Amino acid sequence: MQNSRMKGTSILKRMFSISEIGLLISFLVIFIFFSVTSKYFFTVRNLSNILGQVSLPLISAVGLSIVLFSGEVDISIGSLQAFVSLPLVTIMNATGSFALGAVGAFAAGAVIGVINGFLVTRLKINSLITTLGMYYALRGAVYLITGKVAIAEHSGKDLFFLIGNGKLFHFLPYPSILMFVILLVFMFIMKNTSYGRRTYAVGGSAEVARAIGINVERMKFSAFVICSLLATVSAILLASRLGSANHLAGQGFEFQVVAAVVLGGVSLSGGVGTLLGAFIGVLILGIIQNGLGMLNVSTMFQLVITGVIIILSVAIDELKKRHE
Amino acid sequence: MFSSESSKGGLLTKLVLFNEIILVAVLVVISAAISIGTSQFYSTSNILNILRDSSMAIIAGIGMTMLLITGEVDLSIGSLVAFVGVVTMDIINKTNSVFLGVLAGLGLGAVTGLVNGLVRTKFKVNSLIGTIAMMMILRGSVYLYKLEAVQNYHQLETFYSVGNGYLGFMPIPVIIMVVLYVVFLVILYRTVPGRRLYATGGNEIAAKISGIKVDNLKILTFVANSVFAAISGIILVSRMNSGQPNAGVGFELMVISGVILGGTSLGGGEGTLVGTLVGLLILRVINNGIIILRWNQDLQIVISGLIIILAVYIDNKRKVARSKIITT
Amino acid sequence: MAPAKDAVLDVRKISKAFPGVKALDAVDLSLRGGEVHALIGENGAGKSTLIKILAGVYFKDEGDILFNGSPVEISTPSDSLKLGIKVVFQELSLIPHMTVGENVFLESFPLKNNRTIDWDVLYEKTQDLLDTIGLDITPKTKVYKLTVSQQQMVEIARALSHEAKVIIMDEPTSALTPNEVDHLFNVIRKLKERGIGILYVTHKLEEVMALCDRVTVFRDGKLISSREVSETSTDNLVTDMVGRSIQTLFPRSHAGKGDVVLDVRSLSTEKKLREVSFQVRGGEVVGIFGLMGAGRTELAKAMFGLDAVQSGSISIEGQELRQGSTSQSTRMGLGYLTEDRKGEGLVLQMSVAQNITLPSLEDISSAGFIKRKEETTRSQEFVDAFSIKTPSLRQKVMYLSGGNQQKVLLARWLMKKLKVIILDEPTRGIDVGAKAEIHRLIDELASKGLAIVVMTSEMPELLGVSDHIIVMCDGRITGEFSRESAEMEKILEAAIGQKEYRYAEQ
Repeated sequence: MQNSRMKGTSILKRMFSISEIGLLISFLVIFIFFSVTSKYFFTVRNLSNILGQVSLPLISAVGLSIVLFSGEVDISIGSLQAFVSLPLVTIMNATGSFALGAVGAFAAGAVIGVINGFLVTRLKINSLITTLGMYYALRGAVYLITGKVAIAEHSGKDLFFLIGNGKLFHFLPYPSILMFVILLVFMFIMKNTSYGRRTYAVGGSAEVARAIGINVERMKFSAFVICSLLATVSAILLASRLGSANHLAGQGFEFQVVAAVVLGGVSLSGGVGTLLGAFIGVLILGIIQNGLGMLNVSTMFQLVITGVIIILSVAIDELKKRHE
Repeated sequence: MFSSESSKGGLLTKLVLFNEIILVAVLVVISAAISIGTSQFYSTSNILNILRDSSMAIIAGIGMTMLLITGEVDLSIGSLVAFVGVVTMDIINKTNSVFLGVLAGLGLGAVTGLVNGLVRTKFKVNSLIGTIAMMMILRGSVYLYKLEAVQNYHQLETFYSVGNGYLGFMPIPVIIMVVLYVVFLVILYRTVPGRRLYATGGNEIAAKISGIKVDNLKILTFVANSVFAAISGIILVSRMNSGQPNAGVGFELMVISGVILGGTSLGGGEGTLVGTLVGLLILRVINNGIIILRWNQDLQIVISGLIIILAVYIDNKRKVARSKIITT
Repeated sequence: MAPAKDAVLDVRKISKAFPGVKALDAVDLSLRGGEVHALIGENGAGKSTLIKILAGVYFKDEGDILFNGSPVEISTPSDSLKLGIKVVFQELSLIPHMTVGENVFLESFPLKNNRTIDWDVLYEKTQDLLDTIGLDITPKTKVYKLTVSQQQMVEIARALSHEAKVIIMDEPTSALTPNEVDHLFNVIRKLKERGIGILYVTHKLEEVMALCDRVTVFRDGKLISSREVSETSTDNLVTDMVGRSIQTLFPRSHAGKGDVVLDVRSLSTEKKLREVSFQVRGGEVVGIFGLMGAGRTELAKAMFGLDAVQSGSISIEGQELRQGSTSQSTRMGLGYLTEDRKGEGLVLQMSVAQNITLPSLEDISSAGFIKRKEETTRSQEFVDAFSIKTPSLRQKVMYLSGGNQQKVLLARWLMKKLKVIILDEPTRGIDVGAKAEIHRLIDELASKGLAIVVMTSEMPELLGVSDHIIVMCDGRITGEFSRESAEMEKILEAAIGQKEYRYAEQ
């Protein structure tokens, strides 16, 4: 057996699969394009902004990807963002403690994850429908509770402000540090632990996984909880940026994240894709939006271009697959 | 009935097996509950209101049901409704002709559907992603076309009556809805193309081997779906008397929710128009009830969400029970 | 039936009922360590129910299970696995997008310091297992890239990966070529030496006679007999299985040969096929044989228009087929019964009548409207003619047994006025009784003048059904035999690519 040779190439192979290299190349091409066409793009300040901007969707994308790997879907994460910001801000305003507010937010997030998990795994309701229902119910609840008025945060906690807006060494936004940590931790888990591999197995074929003795329900349940908790992290960062609990927060967020991770190779049918790919997908959409903004393209036109790019990239990806 | 199989049972068994019975029961219960809360509910004018308000969703629901049966989905119809409304109003303003405006709107719908269909069949892009992208493209485009609402300059009588007029005591949108509904009910259940839709969604390869031109059929269904959405958009712009670029937000989800509520499967190969009708009516009745009971309007969103989950849960249970009876 | 001494697995008076049907009625079975015990019976006899009970997928209603003499309860798949019972199911249970190694060790990964997966150990061990079985693939290959036969071998590797005491194999050779079957038998013999008890469920009686020590027969959920293989014969077994003796499995009443109906010339595809040429006449049955990777299904798909063709031509009654158009193929009278009847053939949610009439909708409609009465009458004709067992025409086909589903597919094609039909593994996974019926139908079709192509990997079927035999290897035709000149050894030589045999038309 060619052990040493295997080990050498396998490390590289373990880090990047062929489809990810393709994504990376696309990313570089787009990056270079914007760097060349706009003089504001390739500046320290802008790159730092980009990092800050993509960290929110990326953190949620990690959670959503895990749910997708397990063969389910969660389109409630946008409404969740608005919902969990309520306990966050109200508790902070009342007690002056960010920590308590965060605990409240995570508790709410965990409860939502548990409800989603329960409805899908115990009551066997299709996850698209369950999370669609939650998408409505949570958003409506936020409207009801806030009366469609944003709740400003006025406890004046520096930590709260910093966590969404501060930068390390004036370059690295704190959210992005959080993003990298979460990404690396979960990448490791998904690639190298039984839990991670079995999640893929469950999404690849639930009946097979069950026949092997894997507790399919428990795995899917945990995926939903993780997704909601990570979405809560994004929510806290968002609330920090907005300085308030906003009833409109997260609208359309779930679709953006879904589109981004699919761009990154995560399959909607389950069992396929990697967190690294999802990361690159979010990054690509992020720099496109940023780059177009730098080129003074209106946000509406950005929307159109984003849509076209999504279609083209998925089409190209499908073409590649069929050639295999 | 259309989607249950016969069994050696009497009328009662047939009734229980009737897919939509639970849904009709839900509708009846909710209606009864609301009418207890206020006598306004059962007035003719209110019921006609409900029907007229539901007509847009139901018309779009016809197209969406057929699309879901083939195993595809379209999330762009909300943005399409806005775009069609703006374009129709604009063309009418510019040409003083309702006919041209409507033609433009329907044409836009057809083209959108064609693109969605080609993206799915020729580029092989998953329809969920493809139509999410299309939703972005359309929404961006409508704002690029017109940043503000397009007002109705000419106030043409014909145009006004599309959304607001009556034929006798029937609102015109309801008549349009009923006509389309009946026609497509027949097409879906009694004709060759209808059967082929179910086959395509049920097992695409088997359909191909049986000589069905699957790609063409899907493209056609996408086009039909978008044209139906365009019709809804035209009715809407007539009702609102102006083309609003921000119209239709959340429309696609509401329609899909109603269709799924009605028993159409997300995986394709199953679904009935009767179910869609009842499902959408349930959602609209809830909406209407909340308004006339003077409850907080935002409750509607919450309740819709919960109803969807509950109804699908009940439907699942019923499907399991039904399959146990059949294997006898 | 007294339980055998030193039985590792002992099943006593197990019963299991589902709504409306008693799947198992107080059956006994005992499996000794180190023996290969065959379990045979027609579809619906109760074999898969028993397997699923032993695998922990179903729970028994009554009866006892004894493992090494002590009573045990198996209520979940984990219970079964912990006891050391491994089942290799007929429906492949691999995760397509994961690697071979991951699939093999999915139940319990080798771990580094109890936390993370030790990939090096995993892939080494997988390589060892693959070498033992003689499967020549790298352990890092993703399973979806393997052929069906290779996947089955991986399943067996997985069963071997842990301390198995009992291995249950459900139709293990259904997708294997004769070479692989030999390999498998060798592996099974090695397992015997390790003292593992093997329960071997199959339809292939010749395998029972060749490999197994004892054989148990189930019929209609009841135990019929359990004997040493040396004390019985195929005829006895068939009688036990069916309850009546079956004279011939291969009726042949058709004789005449008409004109050339199907003419394939120098057909080549990008991936596999190389200059394939052959002809089929009306009333003739051409059997196509080949090992894994030979290109049989590729040929069928290319002929039908499902796959792209690079060069060459296909003509039906002289008219050339346009490439890539399945609808044209059907219109010109070409029918294709796929290998994978559930995945590619039937629309499971549709009824019997709807499935039968699916390609023929234009024939039973006017102005686009389907004539319900005609649909019912025509489908009923076929249901009667083929003895398709179904409570009604409106029954959804997903509830029918495998044999009846296959008949529905055949009926579908026969309802169209076909000139040529391609049958890809028409009797795979079907019990003896239904097999005979399908062979009879093939014979009947041929006598009506239809040109028939049968692709099969079962030698007895090939030799029994065909007028003319074609052997493929690596996308080329390497052998042609007439019915009279066909010999098993020569066919196999051609299939391996060792020799090429061309016999002129007689």
